[in-house]
Amino acid sequence: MNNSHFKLSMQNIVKEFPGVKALDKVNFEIEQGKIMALIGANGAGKSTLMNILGGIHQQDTGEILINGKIITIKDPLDASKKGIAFVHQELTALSKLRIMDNMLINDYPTKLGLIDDSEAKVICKKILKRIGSDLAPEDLMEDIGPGDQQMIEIARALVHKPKLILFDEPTSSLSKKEKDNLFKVIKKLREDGVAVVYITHLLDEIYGLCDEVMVMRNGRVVSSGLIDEFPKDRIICDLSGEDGRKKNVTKKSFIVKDDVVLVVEDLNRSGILHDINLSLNKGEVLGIWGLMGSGRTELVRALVGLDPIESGTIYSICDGHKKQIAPHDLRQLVGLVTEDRRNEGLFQPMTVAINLSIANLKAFLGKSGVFIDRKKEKNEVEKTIKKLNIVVSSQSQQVRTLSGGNQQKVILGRWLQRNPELFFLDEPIKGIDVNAKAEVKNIIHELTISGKSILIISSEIEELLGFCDRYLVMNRGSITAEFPHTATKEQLMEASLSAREKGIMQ
Amino acid sequence: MTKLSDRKDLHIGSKFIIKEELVKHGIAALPIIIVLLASLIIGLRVPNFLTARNVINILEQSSAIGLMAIGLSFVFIVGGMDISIAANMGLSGIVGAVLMRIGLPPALACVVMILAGTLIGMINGFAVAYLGMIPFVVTLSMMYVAAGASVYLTEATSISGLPEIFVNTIMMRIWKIPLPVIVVVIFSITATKFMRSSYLGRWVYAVGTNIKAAEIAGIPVRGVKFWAYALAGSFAGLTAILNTARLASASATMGTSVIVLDVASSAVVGGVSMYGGVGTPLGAVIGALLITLISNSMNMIGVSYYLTLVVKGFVIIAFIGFDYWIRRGNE
Amino acid sequence: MKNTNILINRLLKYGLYFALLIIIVFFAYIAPSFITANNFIDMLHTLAPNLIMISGLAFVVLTGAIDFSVGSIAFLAASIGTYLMVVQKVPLIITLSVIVLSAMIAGFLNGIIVEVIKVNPLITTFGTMLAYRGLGYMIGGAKYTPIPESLAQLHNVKIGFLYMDTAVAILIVVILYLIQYRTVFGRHLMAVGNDRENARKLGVKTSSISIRAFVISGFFAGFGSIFYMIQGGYMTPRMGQGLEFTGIAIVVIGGISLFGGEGSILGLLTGIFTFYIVENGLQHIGVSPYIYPFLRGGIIFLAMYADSLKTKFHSLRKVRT
Repeated sequence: MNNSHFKLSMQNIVKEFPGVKALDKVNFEIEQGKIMALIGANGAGKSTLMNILGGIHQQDTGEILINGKIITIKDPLDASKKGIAFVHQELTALSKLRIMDNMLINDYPTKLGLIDDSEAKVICKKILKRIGSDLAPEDLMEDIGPGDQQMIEIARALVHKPKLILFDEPTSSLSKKEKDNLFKVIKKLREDGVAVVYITHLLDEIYGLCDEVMVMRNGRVVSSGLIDEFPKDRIICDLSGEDGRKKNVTKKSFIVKDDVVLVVEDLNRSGILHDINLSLNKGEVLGIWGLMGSGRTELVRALVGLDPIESGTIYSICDGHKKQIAPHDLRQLVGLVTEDRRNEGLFQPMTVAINLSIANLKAFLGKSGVFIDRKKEKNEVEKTIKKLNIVVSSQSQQVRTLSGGNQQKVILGRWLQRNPELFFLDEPIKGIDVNAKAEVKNIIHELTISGKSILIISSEIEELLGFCDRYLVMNRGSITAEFPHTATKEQLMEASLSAREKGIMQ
Repeated sequence: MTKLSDRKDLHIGSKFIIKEELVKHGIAALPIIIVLLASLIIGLRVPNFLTARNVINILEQSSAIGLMAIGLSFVFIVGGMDISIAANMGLSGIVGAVLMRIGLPPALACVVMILAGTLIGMINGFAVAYLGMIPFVVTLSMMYVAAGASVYLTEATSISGLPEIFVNTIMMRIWKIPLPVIVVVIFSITATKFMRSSYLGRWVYAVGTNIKAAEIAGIPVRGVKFWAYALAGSFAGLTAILNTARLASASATMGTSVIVLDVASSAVVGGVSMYGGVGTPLGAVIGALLITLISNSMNMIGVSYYLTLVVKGFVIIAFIGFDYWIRRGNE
Repeated sequence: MKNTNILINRLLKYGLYFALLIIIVFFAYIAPSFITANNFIDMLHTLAPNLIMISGLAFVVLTGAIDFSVGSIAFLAASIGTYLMVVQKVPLIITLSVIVLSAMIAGFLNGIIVEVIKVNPLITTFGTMLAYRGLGYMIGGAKYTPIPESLAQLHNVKIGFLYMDTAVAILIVVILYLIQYRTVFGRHLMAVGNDRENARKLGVKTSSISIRAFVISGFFAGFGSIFYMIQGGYMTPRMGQGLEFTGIAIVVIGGISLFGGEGSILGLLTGIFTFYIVENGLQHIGVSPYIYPFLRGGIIFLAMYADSLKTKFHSLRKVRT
């Protein structure tokens, strides 16, 4: 039993990254033997807050105190020395090494300069037993499943006998049995006097496990307290909050009748996407909403063949003819704007002109059929620049020097040239200024007027509201709910925090 | 004390403008500056250096490396690498020589050499583009096989006694300029025009700049990669013709690893980054000229051949290190 | 799906031993002179210096890097040694120490260029391969130089039934095996080769490990060159030429993946054995020696492709965004 008292508090923590205030005077407190749930949407600041505790970032201002004494956490090794362990969502596994290597890579027991294998095994077995795992320390990391690998991450965290453990979405790769086991382990840790912070997007998990809750939004703590004071509704309400975004473009008219152009049936990708079924209508804006980790981007990538799928069929409907289409072929028919526009959308060192024309080069060929008609290209590019109001000093400006909003317009403009019937837009308005957001939304709106069908993903819920004809909500790789254009923020938020039981949508 | 790079007024977007401008113009000009300086210095000290004869000599010496550098530039620009290019050249040359010795008309033998080179390039390209293997491993193993086959076919000797008409035609001079030099010039200009102005060339640059974005933009990435390697092989075959004629023989020592280093550094020095997306075949040829110039000039001022090797080794590392530093700074 | 993966993995791992067995049996059947103890002992004697020279290279490959300069480092170190021994008549002990030390410095330079100047190992060691050889030539390695009798007489020394250099080579491999699996350094080495980024995140000092691997590679190149000279009795300008290629081939055949983090040092024994046994066997049959490089090339080709395929079978990480 751990008798020494442990209380950690963070006071007035401020952390800024270029362009965004991630944490705005955040106060946080936890003491031994308590499990605290930390809830927040993307960008709420919860990851940043935990990263500071984990030594990955340092706060700009504010103090961290352990038992009343001010401390600094320089790096992950330092955090570990101070008694803080961080179990990340993403596995940091050395796959070809053994379980005991993964656990003790920096803490090998040695005898005469050589690793003491038997002592190491004893240490590992003890910790594994503590978390209820019967894995053998000699087994290779790559031979065990992701659920077990996550267990080893936790085991590694326990090597330094931490007083505080931070869990970031620990159940994302676990089966139900493994989840129950994990909760048992965490409860036992609490008994042993360890403090636990538990970050999750599945609200149902925290009831029955956590003692306290803290809700964050936009870098601030919205509310915190005992779990009994926080029924589900209150948490959802705190998460959504009021928003003062005035310049919200809303759709003028909404599609009511069905004119299907795309159907997806039973799309599956083991571990990533489960039983996806959806349809897209002509001239429709279909919004896909969900928190980070819900699989939205994976869905789009799977549809166009950038990722493999295990089962499922896609049909495209053209002039009443329903035809099955392979993802790779669908890609040719879709204007695809990916989430990571800097790395996957743009050719950064190249000019605006090249970035605009790249998807449609065959239209600019001169008489030779091989060489590009520069003049034609220049004119078309100029037209697109004007139409989308892209702010550039010249066509040959390097695209990486453009602002985020203009960059996004370039990517959209690229597809406009090719004029496809379908558009899949993943976070098209993320990280761009308010005016540009409105402009992009207008462009999208105009596309629908000319009969194009849009699939749009956004994590900024306010931007989607009033803009989509229908909403699909995703969580953990499944579609959990579908709403008409009248959906409210609370409805969407709640659906994104629910799990989908097999066959039943909640 | 604010650093220069902290001054927001000197930024466009989020980039530090002064560094960028300097980098953009400076780097491209650096090799040329070095060459001009070196030539001037040496030209002043060594009487025979700047004669027409020596200049043509240098051009001629650099033509083999230059031709291969053109081929390699396609692979570099697409973001890959091909260490087998020299061994490819050697093997193709040997195949051609062997065929000529047993009576095949030289013209046909030339065609065979180009085809042989292309075939090897295609095997490389297939493994990289369609099997998804790492270019380094693929071309390294190909180098072994080609080198081994070269020794086997020649039984470690050189194949000589090639038809005179072959040697004389390839090595003929038009207005005092050797045909190989003219060929290299023509190819470098044509290849550059192709890369810069055709849609296929544009695709190659795109794939080399950002393969993910290229895929999403609908470019047939695998096909582009495949043909880049195939084309590199074709140029290896072309160089085989040149070298066999120049040496009037073919042997396994034609395609050693030293040559690969020369070719790769020619490309990099000429502005074709190993990381892809930039440079032109013409630049690679200029790079070849420079590399040859280094050897030639050191020779002229009496530097031992061995020291040349040492200098070359470190110069190449320096240039590529520089190249990396530039790319990293530009991301 | 997973079961076929495991099967293919097993095949790729153990297929080599099968092939080796078949080859030995084949040659034993056709050429009885092949399967004599004397033949094997002689073969081991011949390949011992090479084995020593490339044992450090195995460490570099385990970290996921490569070292093309081992041959040139061996040559350079030997040239320096010869110069000291023959020209300057420096005492043997000092000379041998200098040989090894200069080789380590050369390896250290490789490591610095790779880790500090951040040029990739392929280019770095290709460049130093050239530069070190040039340096070696300049120091006088360009001519045949007989080594002092005090050293040369060692070439016939036997320990038990094995020649001295064979015994030393095997001892070295065993020691390196222990280092790989039983020391923290060895574990960190494997971690870096397996997943450099994750290793760094877990607190492993990746740059330091990488540089140390290069130093070790240099060390053995130099150490091995001593045995090479002892065996031949001469310092030759062709020493180490082609070693980088055969060395890497042997490493890969022995199951040490070019991608890093996989394989055991003991694989060096299998690798070098396979490599030379085929030639030895063919020699006994009387096949033309010119086919050897081609055959070698073929074996290397297969080994590298197998290595590549092995890596491709490992599943991608699945994370949702």
